[in-house]
Amino acid sequence: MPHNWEHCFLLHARSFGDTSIIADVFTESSGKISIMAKGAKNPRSKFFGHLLPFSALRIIVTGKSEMKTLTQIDSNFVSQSVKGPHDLYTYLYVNELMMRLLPQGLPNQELYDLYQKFVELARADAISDLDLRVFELNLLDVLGYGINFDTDSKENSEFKEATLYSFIPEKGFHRSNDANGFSAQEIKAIKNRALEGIDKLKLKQLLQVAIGACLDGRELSSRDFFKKIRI
Amino acid sequence: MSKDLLYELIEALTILPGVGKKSAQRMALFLLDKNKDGALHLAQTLEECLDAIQRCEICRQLTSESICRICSDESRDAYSLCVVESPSDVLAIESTGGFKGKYFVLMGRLSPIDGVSPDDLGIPDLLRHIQSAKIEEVILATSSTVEGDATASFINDHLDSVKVSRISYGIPIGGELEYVDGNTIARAIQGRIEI
Repeated sequence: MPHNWEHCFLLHARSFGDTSIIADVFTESSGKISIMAKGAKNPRSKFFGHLLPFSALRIIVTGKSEMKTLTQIDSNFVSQSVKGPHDLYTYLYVNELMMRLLPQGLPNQELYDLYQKFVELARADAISDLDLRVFELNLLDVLGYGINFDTDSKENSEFKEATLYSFIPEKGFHRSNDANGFSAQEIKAIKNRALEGIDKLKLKQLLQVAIGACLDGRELSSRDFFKKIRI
Repeated sequence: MSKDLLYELIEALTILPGVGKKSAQRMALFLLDKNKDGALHLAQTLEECLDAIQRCEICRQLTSESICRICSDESRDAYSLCVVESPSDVLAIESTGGFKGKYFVLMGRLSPIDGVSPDDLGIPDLLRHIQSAKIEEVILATSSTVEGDATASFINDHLDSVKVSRISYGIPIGGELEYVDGNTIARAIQGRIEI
């Protein structure tokens, strides 16, 4: 039976033995899958130099187990990876997020389109903080962890003017006296992805809490890794 | 029933990179049958190495002394430091004879997904060393992968009063463009030099 070409993005690659690579790719038709690229570290291999994070690939894989074997890669299709060295931390963070949040083997066209759009943006230009926040918000929506921006989670009523709301993960916004809370206007702006007027740090913390709740207590290493070292 | 030592040796040899059962069998038979003196020398050297080899206190290269040969060589440029990922990278650069400075071996590269942090790579030690040894130039020779680039970028972000450079990427010597992958060509065009 002929195998089909699959479009995918490479999320993470690690060495296996001396010459091979195990990679996690996000395919359009099968979702996140693990693939074994035998001999890919050998410069004469047809896979050599292609298995880089953020590369859009066209591949053929075989196998019935969870770990598929990479048999073909369309070398004419391989796109440039990220521009580097700028913003590499952001890219590594996004891929860690995808690795941790995506279920294995579950296709999701909406998510594929979202990730593709993000990678295209990253290739064309530097990613701003706000671009990243929009991606995080959309990612939560697409994965079914979307934040309720319409009603007070405790009172089940619409957000009121001149009132501040705090965010409780897995529940939503509720009225509070926290001076760092969000106003109804801000909540509406976040819902509409009009993030320009919102305090960057407050927004970042909101997304950190919301994403943290989806990770079942596991921490994202990339957040801590790239903090400035004091010597 | 006691274990046959021959099979134990074959099994032990398979821990070597690139050595499968068949190669291990060939090695074991060669050592035991054809070159017993060599086998004894190998066993003694291996034992001695296991006792004596440690990481250099300065550069983290593997050495039998507390300070490795390169770090204690006063004829080398003490103000130029090349940062590499593994001990084999030092050997690769040394074999070219093109670099006369000193090294720092990270023993890996930053990878959040795999849990390899700046502390695991000794980056705080590296930064302290650069400061205390008054290093004037740092050459970042980490691999040409996203993680290697992120490691170089992370180190660069922590250095301000030192000249920092990254090894260049490009077309291999004797290589023809049509056989080089797209990513390498794109990087080579990006990093082109004026002639």
